Amino acid sequence: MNIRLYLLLSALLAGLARAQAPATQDIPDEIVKKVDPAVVAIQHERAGGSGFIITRDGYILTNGHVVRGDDEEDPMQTAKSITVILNDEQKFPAKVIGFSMDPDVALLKIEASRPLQAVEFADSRRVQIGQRCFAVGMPLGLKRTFTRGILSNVERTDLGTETKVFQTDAAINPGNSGGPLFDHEGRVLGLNTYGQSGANNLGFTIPIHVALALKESFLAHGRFVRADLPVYMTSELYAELARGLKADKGILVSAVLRNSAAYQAGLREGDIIIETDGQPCSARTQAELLDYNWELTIRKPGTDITFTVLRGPATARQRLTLKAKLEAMEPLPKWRYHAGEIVEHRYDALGLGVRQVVSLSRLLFRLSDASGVLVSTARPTDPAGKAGLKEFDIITHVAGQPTPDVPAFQRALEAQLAAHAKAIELTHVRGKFTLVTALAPYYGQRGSKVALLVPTRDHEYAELLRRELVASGATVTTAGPGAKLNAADFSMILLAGGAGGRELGNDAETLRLVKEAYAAKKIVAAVGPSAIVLAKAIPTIAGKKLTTSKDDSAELIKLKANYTGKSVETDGKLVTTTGFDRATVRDFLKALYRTARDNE
Amino acid sequence: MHRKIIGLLAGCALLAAGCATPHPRTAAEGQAVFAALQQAAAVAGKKVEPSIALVKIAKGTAAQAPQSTPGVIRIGGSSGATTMCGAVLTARGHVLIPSVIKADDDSRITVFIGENEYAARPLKTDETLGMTILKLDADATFVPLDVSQNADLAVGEWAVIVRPTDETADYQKLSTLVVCQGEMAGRHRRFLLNLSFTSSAGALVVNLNGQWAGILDGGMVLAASDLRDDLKTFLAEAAGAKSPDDEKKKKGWFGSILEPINKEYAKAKNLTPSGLWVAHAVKGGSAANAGVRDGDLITALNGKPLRLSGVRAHEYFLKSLHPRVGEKFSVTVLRNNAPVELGGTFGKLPEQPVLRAEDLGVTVSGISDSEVYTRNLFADRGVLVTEVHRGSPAATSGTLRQTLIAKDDVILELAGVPTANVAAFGKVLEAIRRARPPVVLVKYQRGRMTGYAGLNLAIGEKDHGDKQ
Repeated sequence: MNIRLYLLLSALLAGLARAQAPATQDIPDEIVKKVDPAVVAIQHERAGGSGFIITRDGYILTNGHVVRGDDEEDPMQTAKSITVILNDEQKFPAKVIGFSMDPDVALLKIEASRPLQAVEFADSRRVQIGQRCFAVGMPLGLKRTFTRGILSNVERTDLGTETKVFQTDAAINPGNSGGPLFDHEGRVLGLNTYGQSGANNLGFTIPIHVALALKESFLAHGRFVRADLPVYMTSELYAELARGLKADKGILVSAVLRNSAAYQAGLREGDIIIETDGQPCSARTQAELLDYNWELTIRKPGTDITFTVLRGPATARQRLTLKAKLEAMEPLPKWRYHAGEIVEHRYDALGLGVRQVVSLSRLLFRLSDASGVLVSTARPTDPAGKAGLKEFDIITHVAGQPTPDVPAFQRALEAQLAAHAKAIELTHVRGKFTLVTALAPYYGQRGSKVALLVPTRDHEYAELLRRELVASGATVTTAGPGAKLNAADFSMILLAGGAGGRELGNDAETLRLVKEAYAAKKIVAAVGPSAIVLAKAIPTIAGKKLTTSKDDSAELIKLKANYTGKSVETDGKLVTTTGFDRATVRDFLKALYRTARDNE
Repeated sequence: MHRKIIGLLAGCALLAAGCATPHPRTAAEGQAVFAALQQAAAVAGKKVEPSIALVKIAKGTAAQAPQSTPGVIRIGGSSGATTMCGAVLTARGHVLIPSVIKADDDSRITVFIGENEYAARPLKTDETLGMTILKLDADATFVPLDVSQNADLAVGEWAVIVRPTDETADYQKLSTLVVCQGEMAGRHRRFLLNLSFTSSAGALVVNLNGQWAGILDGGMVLAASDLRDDLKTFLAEAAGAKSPDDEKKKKGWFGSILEPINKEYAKAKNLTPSGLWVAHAVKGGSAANAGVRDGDLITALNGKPLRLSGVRAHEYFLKSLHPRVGEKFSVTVLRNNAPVELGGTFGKLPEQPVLRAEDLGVTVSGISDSEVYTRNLFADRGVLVTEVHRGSPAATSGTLRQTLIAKDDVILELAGVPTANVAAFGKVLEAIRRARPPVVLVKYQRGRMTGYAGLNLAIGEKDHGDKQ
């Protein structure tokens, strides 16, 4: 009996002890152990953040803004050197499979030697305000930081994001970006994204179902491809609007761009969509509208869609069925959280950058229907600014030639630049006005004769180098391996970048040209790996200062060159660069021009 | 002294070359030329002598009358008084001085004309010109400066600076022969002189024919021909003392949106760098009525070629325009590479009707062609929202810092009825006021997009202040 009682008491006490553990530990040990190894730190040349492993073979989710580069011309560029650091401090170089700035999601991949511990997902469509949650991340670079709180709001729409986001009072600080928000069982609810500066305990989290939809698109296309029926706009039927329209349910079509696919499909402004593909649809709040739009956005482009709409005054409403096909959305311009997806075609020498005009740009920036290219850079101190060009002007003609797109613009402009035209006539449209002006390039490199050698494959920056040299007044001859060029015909030999640059090192003609040019005291320059060609071709290279991409530094050292590792290096007539990014290549061009000037 | 001689020699050389005066071969001949020149200067100076005034301004009423040294006119004397030159503009005693003195300034102003001394008060200032018109407290009749008799100075031309006299000096001693050495462009051109004058601001400058060439200001001569029109207006304003509203009513309207020609473009096309493109000749504007079209290049106004370039050319044009309702103007435009002369009369800027719809929370106005262009509107029928009232139905969207209706929206329909203009809008509004619906549906154009808003008329009914 006594023994029984003792056992009973022991069992009771042990049970109490177990029951007490959660009271002192808000996140139980087994949950910490479950989630901790799946959360990673992300670092690159500019900044970093957090992320989490979603598959055992090394796919990682984080925020788009954590891995985005700072290339003004190409907003789709990622940071160049991304490292993922696991919780056991193992480091792996990471590749970006795809990223988007809104929703702010990126998918990375690392190649680990062992299977990794991945997270579990919660159903972020079924969440409740007040539900317990905790965040894990690297706030301010402080690794493995757990913070806890509740979901303060699960339908936050007023930040201007494309989807609803969660709001939490778990502390989210810079560095938490990309890290997971877990539910009390350690399943991922979302990606922590935005903190509100100047506020306390206001953190925002992208629901995981949104991030997973993007993941699929990244894996399939390398970017987020949105489905769209261009171009119509919708509005939720908030109480007053519903009352004003005398419609209880549905989604209001507030605008349809004339002659667009949406217009051709039969949609008209004022229509009320009551069914989509036969299913009733309605949005009385912005959150409901965002959910509805998101569901269409993540459909597959090319699929059919059917709308049932109500049209006409409340007293005589017609019910119509409209059929359409979803398209892949045009590249997005820079707007709100979107960094944009349109590459700028820039002539630094002119202080001028242009981009393709898309329908959304016309709507957002109130542009006219003029056919042309959109000015996105016009530096005031350079020829573009002096010509009076401004951002959002549409250039319609260059020297009398229509410029409906970037290639046409490039052809017309470069024909003038090659002819060293003193003043290049431009017609541009600003708002409702059509204006004419003239661009007066400086032609600082007039007289320079440049042989630009471009590898047949995997080359980088060849187009940028050519374009800038032409805009600076240089005469550029572009050639590939095997071209029989004469060093005496050129003042500068320039080797383009990219992994293919190594190929030039095996090309006898290139080696001969470089050797002869250097012997004849011409400028010899190389971007990235092609610096190897210089080291191979020039007999007196020993001790000469050169730089190249990190991967090729050992080869350069083996060839007895003085590898300095600087982003741009000049030694006499030799100019080299790591070719790390576009900005580095532009610095390299400046160094090249300085050398050319000193050479005169 | 040295500079004077060089100037004189340079002048003589110019006289010989440009003015066909026999070249003096001997010293005596040279002396004769010089004497003749002085004589001419004296005669020229006489013409403006009665219109010259010496103005002394003593700060505060307690200040003593300044000591003046014959032949030397200084700005800011030791006693705290300022001395400058002035020009009599009317027989009733309006005197122009090159300084800004506000009407409420308590300085004591004394004006000497000939041998008489008068008290004066500031009447009107023009800060752009940097000048003030004084009114003398006297019943006497004065000899005004003949502003219609004016001439520009050519480079190398002789001129005479005439400064006022006081009781101890006569003007001849204060007249100085100078040579014009250049011209500085500007809204008001300035002639550069061979001598440097850091004081004597306001002194009159005449050519050897006695024609008024300008006023000495900042060591240079402010061109009379550029000042003349401004002075007339200025004087009319000072003497007439009209209300600003009257002026506004009288102000004419050219009605065009102009863009200065790009210098490089002008150079390449051999066009004047002072030209102004007509980006848009507003419908019903004086320019459009005169036949000015979009794409014309204005090169001259009222027979005078435009000056300066870029933004300054635009400024120059606007300042030279002086549009007054009913006044005629002419412009020369380049159209299809050929000059076209166009003439017209300034009309009035049509006033757009404005309606303040308190119950909705918007102030709207009619849409003019000018606004369609300058505000880049995508609707020309409807009413333009110029203001959204805080805390009103139009302002309250449920999200902070976002309004349902925004400034520059064009309201196309109200409660399903088109509102093509303010009158139509007003009519619908009246009907709404009578019917008092709880909600009003608004269709608007925002940029290129249309939109709909449901305004809850109960919002802001009691109007508890104007905070959102």
